[in-house]
Amino acid sequence: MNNYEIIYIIDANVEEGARKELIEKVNGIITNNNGEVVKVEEWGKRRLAYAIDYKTEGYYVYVAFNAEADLPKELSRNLGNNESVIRSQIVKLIEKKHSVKPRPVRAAAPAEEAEAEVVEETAAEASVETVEAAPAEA
Amino acid sequence: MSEDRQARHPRGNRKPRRKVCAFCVDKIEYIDYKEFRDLNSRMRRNINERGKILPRRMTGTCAKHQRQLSEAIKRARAIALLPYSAE
Repeated sequence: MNNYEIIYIIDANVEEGARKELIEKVNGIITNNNGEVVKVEEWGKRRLAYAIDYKTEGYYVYVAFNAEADLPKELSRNLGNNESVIRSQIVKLIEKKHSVKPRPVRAAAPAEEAEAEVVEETAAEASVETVEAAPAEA
Repeated sequence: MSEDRQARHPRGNRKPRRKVCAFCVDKIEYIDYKEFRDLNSRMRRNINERGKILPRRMTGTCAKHQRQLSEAIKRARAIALLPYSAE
Protein backbone atom coordinates (compact mmCIF):
# COMPACT_ATOMS: atom_id res chain seq x y z
CA MET A 1 0.00 0.00 0.00
CA ASN A 2 1.22 3.46 -0.90
CA ASN A 3 -0.07 6.91 -0.11
CA TYR A 4 -1.22 8.95 -3.05
CA GLU A 5 -3.04 12.14 -3.69
CA ILE A 6 -4.92 13.17 -6.78
CA ILE A 7 -6.20 16.51 -8.00
CA TYR A 8 -8.62 16.49 -10.89
CA ILE A 9 -10.38 19.33 -12.61
CA ILE A 10 -13.98 18.88 -13.72
CA ASP A 11 -15.42 21.05 -16.46
CA ALA A 12 -17.17 24.00 -14.78
CA ASN A 13 -20.16 23.60 -17.10
CA VAL A 14 -21.02 20.15 -15.74
CA GLU A 15 -24.25 20.19 -13.69
CA GLU A 16 -24.02 19.79 -9.95
CA GLY A 17 -25.78 16.41 -9.97
CA ALA A 18 -23.52 14.97 -12.63
CA ARG A 19 -20.51 16.37 -10.83
CA LYS A 20 -21.42 14.68 -7.54
CA GLU A 21 -21.98 11.45 -9.43
CA LEU A 22 -18.53 11.74 -10.97
CA ILE A 23 -16.85 12.37 -7.62
CA GLU A 24 -18.66 9.32 -6.21
CA LYS A 25 -17.53 7.28 -9.20
CA VAL A 26 -13.88 8.22 -8.65
CA ASN A 27 -14.10 7.32 -4.96
CA GLY A 28 -15.80 4.09 -6.00
CA ILE A 29 -12.92 3.16 -8.30
CA ILE A 30 -10.49 3.60 -5.41
CA THR A 31 -12.49 1.58 -2.88
CA ASN A 32 -13.36 -1.18 -5.37
CA ASN A 33 -9.67 -1.81 -6.03
CA ASN A 34 -8.65 -2.42 -2.41
CA GLY A 35 -7.93 1.25 -1.92
CA GLU A 36 -8.97 3.48 0.93
CA VAL A 37 -10.10 7.08 0.57
CA VAL A 38 -8.49 9.15 3.31
CA LYS A 39 -9.77 12.62 2.53
CA VAL A 40 -11.87 14.35 -0.12
CA GLU A 41 -11.62 18.11 -0.48
CA GLU A 42 -13.68 20.05 -2.96
CA TRP A 43 -11.87 23.26 -3.73
CA GLY A 44 -14.78 24.43 -5.83
CA LYS A 45 -14.79 26.52 -8.98
CA ARG A 46 -11.46 28.19 -9.65
CA ARG A 47 -9.91 30.18 -12.43
CA LEU A 48 -7.32 28.17 -14.30
CA ALA A 49 -3.86 29.73 -14.51
CA TYR A 50 -4.02 29.13 -18.27
CA ALA A 51 -6.74 28.00 -20.62
CA ILE A 52 -7.15 24.25 -21.12
CA ASP A 53 -9.19 23.40 -24.23
CA TYR A 54 -10.31 27.06 -24.32
CA LYS A 55 -11.79 26.70 -20.81
CA THR A 56 -10.79 29.29 -18.24
CA GLU A 57 -12.58 27.83 -15.22
CA GLY A 58 -12.70 24.44 -13.59
CA TYR A 59 -14.00 22.65 -10.53
CA TYR A 60 -11.08 21.31 -8.48
CA VAL A 61 -11.35 18.12 -6.42
CA TYR A 62 -8.58 16.82 -4.18
CA VAL A 63 -8.54 13.24 -2.89
CA ALA A 64 -5.95 11.62 -0.62
CA PHE A 65 -5.98 7.82 -0.71
CA ASN A 66 -4.04 4.65 0.04
CA ALA A 67 -3.83 2.03 -2.68
CA GLU A 68 -1.77 -0.65 -4.34
CA ALA A 69 0.77 0.44 -6.91
CA ASP A 70 -1.34 -0.53 -9.94
CA LEU A 71 -4.32 1.68 -9.07
CA PRO A 72 -2.96 5.12 -10.10
CA LYS A 73 -2.42 3.92 -13.64
CA GLU A 74 -5.95 2.54 -13.84
CA LEU A 75 -7.43 5.65 -12.27
CA SER A 76 -5.67 8.10 -14.56
CA ARG A 77 -6.68 6.01 -17.58
CA ASN A 78 -10.28 6.19 -16.39
CA LEU A 79 -10.19 9.94 -15.86
CA GLY A 80 -8.50 10.44 -19.20
CA ASN A 81 -11.41 8.73 -20.93
CA ASN A 82 -13.93 10.87 -19.12
CA GLU A 83 -14.77 13.93 -21.17
CA SER A 84 -15.90 16.11 -18.27
CA VAL A 85 -12.52 15.78 -16.52
CA ILE A 86 -10.22 18.31 -18.12
CA ARG A 87 -7.07 17.43 -16.19
CA SER A 88 -5.86 15.14 -13.42
CA GLN A 89 -2.62 14.61 -11.57
CA ILE A 90 -1.70 11.81 -9.18
CA VAL A 91 1.26 12.28 -6.86
CA LYS A 92 2.79 9.59 -4.69
CA LEU A 93 3.48 10.84 -1.20
CA ILE A 94 6.86 9.75 0.09
CA GLU A 95 7.35 9.42 3.80
CA LYS A 96 10.28 11.40 5.12
CA LYS A 97 13.33 9.34 5.96
CA HIS A 98 15.04 12.15 7.78
CA SER A 99 13.79 14.18 10.64
CA VAL A 100 14.48 17.87 11.05
CA LYS A 101 15.15 17.34 14.75
CA PRO A 102 18.84 17.54 15.63
CA ARG A 103 20.48 14.19 16.19
CA PRO A 104 21.10 13.75 19.92
CA VAL A 105 24.36 11.83 19.46
CA ARG A 106 26.15 14.72 17.80
CA ALA A 107 24.61 17.41 19.99
CA ALA A 108 27.74 17.75 22.15
CA ALA A 109 30.23 18.24 19.29
CA PRO A 110 28.79 21.48 17.79
CA ALA A 111 28.86 23.16 21.20
CA GLU A 112 32.62 22.64 21.43
CA GLU A 113 33.07 23.98 17.91
CA ALA A 114 31.12 27.08 18.79
CA GLU A 115 33.39 27.71 21.74
CA ALA A 116 36.46 27.31 19.57
CA GLU A 117 35.07 29.90 17.17
CA VAL A 118 34.60 32.40 19.94
CA VAL A 119 38.23 31.96 20.97
CA GLU A 120 39.40 32.53 17.40
CA GLU A 121 37.32 35.64 17.09
CA THR A 122 38.77 37.22 20.17
CA ALA A 123 42.23 36.37 18.87
CA ALA A 124 41.41 38.10 15.59
CA GLU A 125 40.16 41.16 17.42
CA ALA A 126 43.33 41.28 19.45
CA SER A 127 45.40 41.28 16.27
CA VAL A 128 43.30 44.15 14.93
CA GLU A 129 44.16 46.16 17.99
CA THR A 130 47.86 45.51 17.62
CA VAL A 131 47.76 46.50 13.93
CA GLU A 132 45.99 49.74 14.75
CA ALA A 133 48.25 50.43 17.68
CA ALA A 134 51.50 49.84 15.81
CA PRO A 135 51.37 52.86 13.44
CA ALA A 136 50.48 55.14 16.33
CA GLU A 137 53.60 54.11 18.18
CA ALA A 138 55.75 54.57 15.12
CA MET B 1 48.09 35.43 8.56
CA SER B 2 45.26 37.40 10.08
CA GLU B 3 47.36 40.55 9.82
CA ASP B 4 47.72 40.06 6.05
CA ARG B 5 43.98 39.85 5.72
CA GLN B 6 43.61 43.06 7.68
CA ALA B 7 46.02 44.81 5.34
CA ARG B 8 44.03 43.84 2.27
CA HIS B 9 40.82 45.19 3.75
CA PRO B 10 41.77 48.51 5.28
CA ARG B 11 38.17 49.46 5.99
CA GLY B 12 37.50 46.42 8.12
CA ASN B 13 36.52 42.98 6.93
CA ARG B 14 32.79 43.06 7.48
CA LYS B 15 31.28 40.16 5.56
CA PRO B 16 28.20 40.80 3.39
CA ARG B 17 25.08 39.54 5.10
CA ARG B 18 24.23 36.09 3.91
CA LYS B 19 20.54 35.48 3.23
CA VAL B 20 19.14 32.48 5.03
CA CYS B 21 16.80 29.96 3.50
CA ALA B 22 13.20 30.80 4.44
CA PHE B 23 12.22 27.13 4.34
CA CYS B 24 15.03 26.13 6.72
CA VAL B 25 14.02 28.88 9.14
CA ASP B 26 10.46 27.51 9.22
CA LYS B 27 11.78 23.91 9.43
CA ILE B 28 9.76 22.83 6.42
CA GLU B 29 10.38 19.22 5.45
CA TYR B 30 8.17 18.97 2.44
CA ILE B 31 7.28 21.79 0.08
CA ASP B 32 3.70 21.22 -0.93
CA TYR B 33 2.64 22.24 -4.43
CA LYS B 34 -0.95 22.65 -3.19
CA GLU B 35 0.05 25.79 -1.31
CA PHE B 36 0.17 27.64 -4.61
CA ARG B 37 -3.60 27.60 -4.78
CA ASP B 38 -3.74 30.64 -2.51
CA LEU B 39 -3.06 33.71 -4.65
CA ASN B 40 -1.42 35.59 -1.80
CA SER B 41 0.54 32.63 -0.47
CA ARG B 42 4.08 33.46 0.56
CA MET B 43 5.17 30.67 -1.74
CA ARG B 44 4.56 33.12 -4.55
CA ARG B 45 7.67 35.01 -3.50
CA ASN B 46 9.67 32.37 -5.29
CA ILE B 47 8.26 33.17 -8.70
CA ASN B 48 8.27 36.47 -10.55
CA GLU B 49 5.28 38.13 -12.17
CA ARG B 50 5.97 36.30 -15.41
CA GLY B 51 5.66 33.02 -13.56
CA LYS B 52 9.36 32.19 -13.74
CA ILE B 53 11.13 30.40 -10.91
CA LEU B 54 13.45 32.83 -9.13
CA PRO B 55 17.07 31.73 -8.76
CA ARG B 56 18.61 30.88 -5.41
CA ARG B 57 20.88 33.91 -5.55
CA MET B 58 17.82 36.13 -5.38
CA THR B 59 15.75 34.32 -2.77
CA GLY B 60 18.50 32.84 -0.60
CA THR B 61 16.87 29.40 -0.65
CA CYS B 62 19.24 26.53 0.12
CA ALA B 63 20.01 23.92 -2.52
CA LYS B 64 17.96 21.20 -0.85
CA HIS B 65 14.84 23.33 -0.66
CA GLN B 66 15.32 24.84 -4.11
CA ARG B 67 15.21 21.35 -5.61
CA GLN B 68 11.97 20.63 -3.77
CA LEU B 69 10.60 24.03 -4.67
CA SER B 70 11.20 23.66 -8.39
CA GLU B 71 9.48 20.27 -8.30
CA ALA B 72 6.51 21.79 -6.45
CA ILE B 73 6.22 24.69 -8.90
CA LYS B 74 6.27 22.31 -11.86
CA ARG B 75 3.54 20.19 -10.30
CA ALA B 76 1.44 23.29 -9.62
CA ARG B 77 1.88 24.33 -13.24
CA ALA B 78 0.72 20.97 -14.55
CA ILE B 79 -2.57 21.26 -12.68
CA ALA B 80 -3.09 24.92 -13.72
CA LEU B 81 -2.53 26.43 -10.26
CA LEU B 82 0.38 28.41 -11.71
CA PRO B 83 0.95 29.62 -15.26
CA TYR B 84 3.75 28.25 -17.41
CA SER B 85 4.16 31.79 -18.63
CA ALA B 86 2.23 34.96 -18.00
CA GLU B 87 2.28 38.45 -19.41
